[in-house]
Amino acid sequence: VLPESLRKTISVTKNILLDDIAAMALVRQAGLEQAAMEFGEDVAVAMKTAAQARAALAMLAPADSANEPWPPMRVRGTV
Amino acid sequence: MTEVNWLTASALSQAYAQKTVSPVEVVQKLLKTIDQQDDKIHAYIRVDKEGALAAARSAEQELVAGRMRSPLHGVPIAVKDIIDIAGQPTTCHSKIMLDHVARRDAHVVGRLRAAGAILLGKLALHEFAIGGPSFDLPFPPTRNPWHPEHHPGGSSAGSGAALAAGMVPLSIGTDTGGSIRNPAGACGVVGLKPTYGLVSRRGVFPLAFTLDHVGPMARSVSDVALALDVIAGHDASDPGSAATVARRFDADLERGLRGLRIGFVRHFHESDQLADPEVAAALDEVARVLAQEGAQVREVRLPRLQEFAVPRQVIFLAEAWAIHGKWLRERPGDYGQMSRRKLMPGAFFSAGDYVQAQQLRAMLMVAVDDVFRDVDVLMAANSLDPSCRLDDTVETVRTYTRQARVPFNLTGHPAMSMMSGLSKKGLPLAVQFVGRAFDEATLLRVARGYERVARWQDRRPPSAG
Repeated sequence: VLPESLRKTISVTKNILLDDIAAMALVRQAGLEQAAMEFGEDVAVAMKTAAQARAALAMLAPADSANEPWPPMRVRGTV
Repeated sequence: MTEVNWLTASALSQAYAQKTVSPVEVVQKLLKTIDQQDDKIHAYIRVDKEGALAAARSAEQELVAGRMRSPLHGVPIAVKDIIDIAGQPTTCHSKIMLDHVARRDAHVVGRLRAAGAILLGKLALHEFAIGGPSFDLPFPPTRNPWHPEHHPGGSSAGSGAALAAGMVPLSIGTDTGGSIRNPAGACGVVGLKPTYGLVSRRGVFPLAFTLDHVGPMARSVSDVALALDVIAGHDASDPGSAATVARRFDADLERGLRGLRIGFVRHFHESDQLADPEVAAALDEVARVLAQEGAQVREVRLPRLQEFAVPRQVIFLAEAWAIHGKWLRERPGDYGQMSRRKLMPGAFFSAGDYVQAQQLRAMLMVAVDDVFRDVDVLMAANSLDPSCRLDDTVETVRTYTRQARVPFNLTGHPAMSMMSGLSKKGLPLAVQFVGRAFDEATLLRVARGYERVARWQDRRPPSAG
């Protein structure tokens, strides 16, 4: 069952977030059931933040998906 | 005569050499200042009075015997309470870590000790260096010495405020999204985020492995250079540590600006996001001073702020979740609300999101390096607004991300902030300078060239004793 505080917040932000079942599936997958019960609004805010960031990332996706990203910090310069 | 708690590290070093003041006198004066000031500012989480006095006596005995280990010999320093000092708690300003006692010194602390510096205490921060302020943590939030009702910047809030209030001459902060440069700017001091890999992160509680930097903060550029001399260098126990060679970062400080090429990244604050007019005007004045001193200042373009901010956010959240996920699952109530909200988004990213963000990062690093073919140093905005009231939650949220610092956490280039003016309300404004990777010497030279003319380092908060 979706905690009421999480449900209330999700309904406010439904343009970005998911239906109750999908939201709870994500919460379970993340292992955040306790946080959802105790701090439902915080979990909802976190889900919204992640959804917005993923949407923004999709818009910037590199044209060449084979671009090498490793190692992540390869600072060039004369050491 | 300047009271000893306001002397810079460089001035203390000279005074020790001339035997006009002793480390014990300095530590005693700083402890007295902390007693008088810190119940209003809350810069310190822990002051190690006995340890500092013992170290001061030891430093004094060595000086009497004619031994001066380094320019930081006998100079007091305090570190953000995310950095381990053996035998002392490292709380990270969080209930989660209240019982944690460090077993060994962080690499930077070991280097400072070896150089003869005196460890004065542990400084307040935003919980786990995530952002703040929060009023639901075990320790109160730090306040801005220039205006105690206002935000001191963060997350190294105590590191900036203690300097501005004359409660320490040097401090160490960490910077994952601007957490050295933000409080340095808000508190009117100087803060340097070195090149990624120049200063070891070993013994510093991580926030995001590939974005974390450790760096010095001080009231003058030359003090930042002195501290960097001590803490920089390869550490095999930090996998991100670069194979650097020893050098003097203060070697070029007084060479002036003539002939240097400085790229002004105006679009960060004029079109990507619109800066407060006072911030923008102060930046124009910095550019004028640099040109007057002989630098060639010209406008350059980098990718837009948003292009840096998005991959940085994904990388930050994913890496931070890897660190905090277990605690957030099992002890969510032991975090402050702001930290819960800032950390839990990391649970909802995929591995593909993270890799894609790293791909974007690699492209952005190349883009910034390309600009450095034509200029020696970049200048840009730091924060886009003067600091807001500490209790104004809406304004804190609005202004905290209005900044131009995260690009250089993502790319690893060295970046520093320093005071560039005062707002009408009497709050410090700041400029950011950015250097080529591992070229901190030129970066510091530009900062010193500006400091020498602008002389903001002579100003003190009106309430400071």
